[in-house]
Amino acid sequence: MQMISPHSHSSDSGWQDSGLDASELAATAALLAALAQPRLACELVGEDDAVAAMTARIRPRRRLRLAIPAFRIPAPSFPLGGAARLAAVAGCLFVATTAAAFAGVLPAAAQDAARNALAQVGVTVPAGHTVQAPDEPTATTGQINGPTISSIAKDPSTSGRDKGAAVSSQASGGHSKAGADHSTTGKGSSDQAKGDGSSTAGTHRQDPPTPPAPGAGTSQGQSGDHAQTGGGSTTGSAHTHG
Amino acid sequence: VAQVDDFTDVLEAAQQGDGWAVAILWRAYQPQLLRYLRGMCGDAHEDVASDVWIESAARLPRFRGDEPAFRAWLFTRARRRAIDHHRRSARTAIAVAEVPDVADPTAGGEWEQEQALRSALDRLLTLSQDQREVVLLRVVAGLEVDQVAGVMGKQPGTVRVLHHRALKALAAGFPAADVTPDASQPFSEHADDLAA
Repeated sequence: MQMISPHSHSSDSGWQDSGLDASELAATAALLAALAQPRLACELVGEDDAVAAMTARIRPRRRLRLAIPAFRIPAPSFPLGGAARLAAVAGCLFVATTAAAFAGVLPAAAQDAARNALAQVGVTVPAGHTVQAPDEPTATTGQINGPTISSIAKDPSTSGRDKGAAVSSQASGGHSKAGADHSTTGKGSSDQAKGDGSSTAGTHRQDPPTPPAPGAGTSQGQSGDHAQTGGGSTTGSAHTHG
Repeated sequence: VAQVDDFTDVLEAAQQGDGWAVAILWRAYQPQLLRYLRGMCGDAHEDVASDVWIESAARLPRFRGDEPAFRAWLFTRARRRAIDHHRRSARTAIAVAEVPDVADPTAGGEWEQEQALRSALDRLLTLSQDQREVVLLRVVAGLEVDQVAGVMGKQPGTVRVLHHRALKALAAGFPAADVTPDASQPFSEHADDLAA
């Protein structure tokens, strides 16, 4: 290591080339030495306070453990746990479907399918049902009652009001009140008080027109004059309920 | 330039907040820091140095590097604080003449050393801002040319030129009789800069 000193710098070619005399170089060396001299006591005043303040500001760096597993893409695997979860889900679905089938809240097709499936394991649940319009007559009922109503209409032992009531009652499955005493209700009561059977039709006109039951229609066609009472039996509203 | 034995261990302990390690670092670098800031900020050097230490302490746990890197890191913060100080004060950077005489004349040798330091800092006032800063970082902080370039944001070649011109200007400013030879201090690297 080279030293800057009055004794050594003259032999240094660099210093000689610098164009400075020895005194200038020595003065510069002294200046630099003063700048780099060892620490002075006055420069260390307040050490305790400074160190305390610094220590208070230092917060040791915590080694952050990044949740790297959270960023992993789970590999598709089907361990035993996965199979158990699948079985649990399937069981829950079966129980829920069975409960819904017992309650009868499934759609008709699903209800029927559940009924068939559960029937194989000995479980009986309600069958699926379709909602039917209350005023819509069913062809099945008409086909069954048709011959009977026709025979009633052809029966010569009855006539008039009694025949109409019988036909209407048969056609409506007993719901018809044709021929009944309406004396206690409204306008019909005054008509009934006259004892005029024809006025009964006026009473029945208050009801909205309803299509006649197939059986009733048949009886009208085949009973000729006797079917007139059957026409008035529309109050029987030959339709069946559910 | 002050050296810290077992710097790695001391730094690691300081980063954990151990007071003894912080004290070692402070004692090792506080004189250099004060002198540098004295040349940059004048009479505000102690306040600025305190700010530098506080800021450095807060960021110390994140520092990674060896002793030279730590020195460069510390003086980079000191330089930024000095610039902030100048912006706030909006006054001339150098006010070395206003530095209070903190040395006790009765202290003998240390008083003479303090006077020599004051004289040297006064002499630096004749240099430009960049030249003065290069001398302070090279001589006082003991940074290498590359480190000085990193601290100042300049090219290493620019730093060498500034250093050379600064030393030449300092040497040319001395009268022939103002020679106080001191053969005990090694400054060969600066002599090389001057001769370059």
